[in-house]
Amino acid sequence: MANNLFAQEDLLKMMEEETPTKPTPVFASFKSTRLVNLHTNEQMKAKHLDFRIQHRFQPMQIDKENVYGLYNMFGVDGAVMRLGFEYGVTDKLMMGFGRSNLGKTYDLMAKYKILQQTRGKKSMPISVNYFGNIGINTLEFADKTRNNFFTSRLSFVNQLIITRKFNDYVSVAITPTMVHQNLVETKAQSHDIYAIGLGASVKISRSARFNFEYIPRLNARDDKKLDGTQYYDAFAFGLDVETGGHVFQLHFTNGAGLIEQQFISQNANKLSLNTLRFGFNLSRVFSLEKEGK
Amino acid sequence: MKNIIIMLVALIGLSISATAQIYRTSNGKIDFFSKTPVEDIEAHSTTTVVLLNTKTNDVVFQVLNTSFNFPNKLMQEHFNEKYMESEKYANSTFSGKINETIDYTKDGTYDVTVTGKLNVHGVEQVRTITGKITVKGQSIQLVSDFKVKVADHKIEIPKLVTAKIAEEIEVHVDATLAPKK
Repeated sequence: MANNLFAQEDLLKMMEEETPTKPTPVFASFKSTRLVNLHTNEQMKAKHLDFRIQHRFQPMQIDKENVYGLYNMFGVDGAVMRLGFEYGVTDKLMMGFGRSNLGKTYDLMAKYKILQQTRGKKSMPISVNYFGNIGINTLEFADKTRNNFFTSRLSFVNQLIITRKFNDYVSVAITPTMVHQNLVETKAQSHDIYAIGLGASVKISRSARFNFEYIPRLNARDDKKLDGTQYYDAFAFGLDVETGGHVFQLHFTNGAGLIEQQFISQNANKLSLNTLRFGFNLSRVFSLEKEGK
Repeated sequence: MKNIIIMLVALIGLSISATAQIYRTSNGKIDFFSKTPVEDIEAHSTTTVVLLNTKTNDVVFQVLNTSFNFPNKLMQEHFNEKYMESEKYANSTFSGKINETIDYTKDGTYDVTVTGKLNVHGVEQVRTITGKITVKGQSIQLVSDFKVKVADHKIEIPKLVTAKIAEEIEVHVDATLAPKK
């Protein structure tokens, strides 16, 4: 009789006891390794390669007073672009390189997962990643008669990426950043720029998210360039559309830069309808892991 | 007094047999395959928990959806995020009863049918699934091949990828159980 008490319910209860209660990692906080310009906590997994094409077209010039909008097809006639190859060395470390035609700049990047947000008992509330890169500007030096150094071409970015996925729909990112330029245009200009990237992503459907980012700089906000103009904070919003192996990121930005030193500290465009640019990132991920078990 | 001792012995004996009638594993294998002309997708889990009560013929399977390993990790993320919604529905389960009577004390292979509830993506379906049970000494092996229609479990496939994901997923289960201690 006692034996018959073991029904399916008892087995299910036993099953609960067997199920480990350790915290489970939170996944898919964002659709891609980038929000728009800013890096997210998403990493390429081990042995996965992300081939990335990033475009920022010319300003749309949709200002009423400006008649060139349609003439230039709202900026589509010209573009700044970066081609990048970014590889997951391990599940925690990704490394990549790219080249952008803005400043004929090569970049080497690395991103490392320090903390992983988890769910469950004793869970970790946030994810933290480190991102760093080296930019190599290969434009001809403005003054060739001067004694020019290779190191003058270099710029560096150090960034912490702190993210939290609040629920199925909303994820946010805060990214304290330091940009260092070895060479700046004038003596008065600051070599080090500090900024805090603020980003948010909202799920619209299973295949789409809306993203927003704003990157206020904390110092040297009024530094003038050689031509007397100044830099502005970067602003961007856009959509991620994912179709299996591809992620299309379509967005509007007020800057043309595609790497941190360009869009955070060297954004020459004030935010206005006139300067807004259309742009897209196309990410195609290849698994280089061998098929099968 | 003698009677009481006999009763106690009998009770202890009963409780021993009560524990020995539960067989378990936490390393059951589940593989699934989605085959279309465009793309073949497969994934494997080796951490399925299976419990079998040999007295009542009740059997329970439970697999953590995030334990399925895909060669393409992006697919794995999409599987969990978009299709299985693993943060909401962590496990896929099957709890049922073996319809045939099986002599678990005798080595051999038996064709069986199991009727029960298959819960995938939070949607329950009553299914009768065919399989094979192989008894060999202290181990019991359960093997089954069956199909799951994604629509039956309210798993929507976006139009953009309908060509890549099969409407019917082939599932292969292979678990070897040992007496629960």
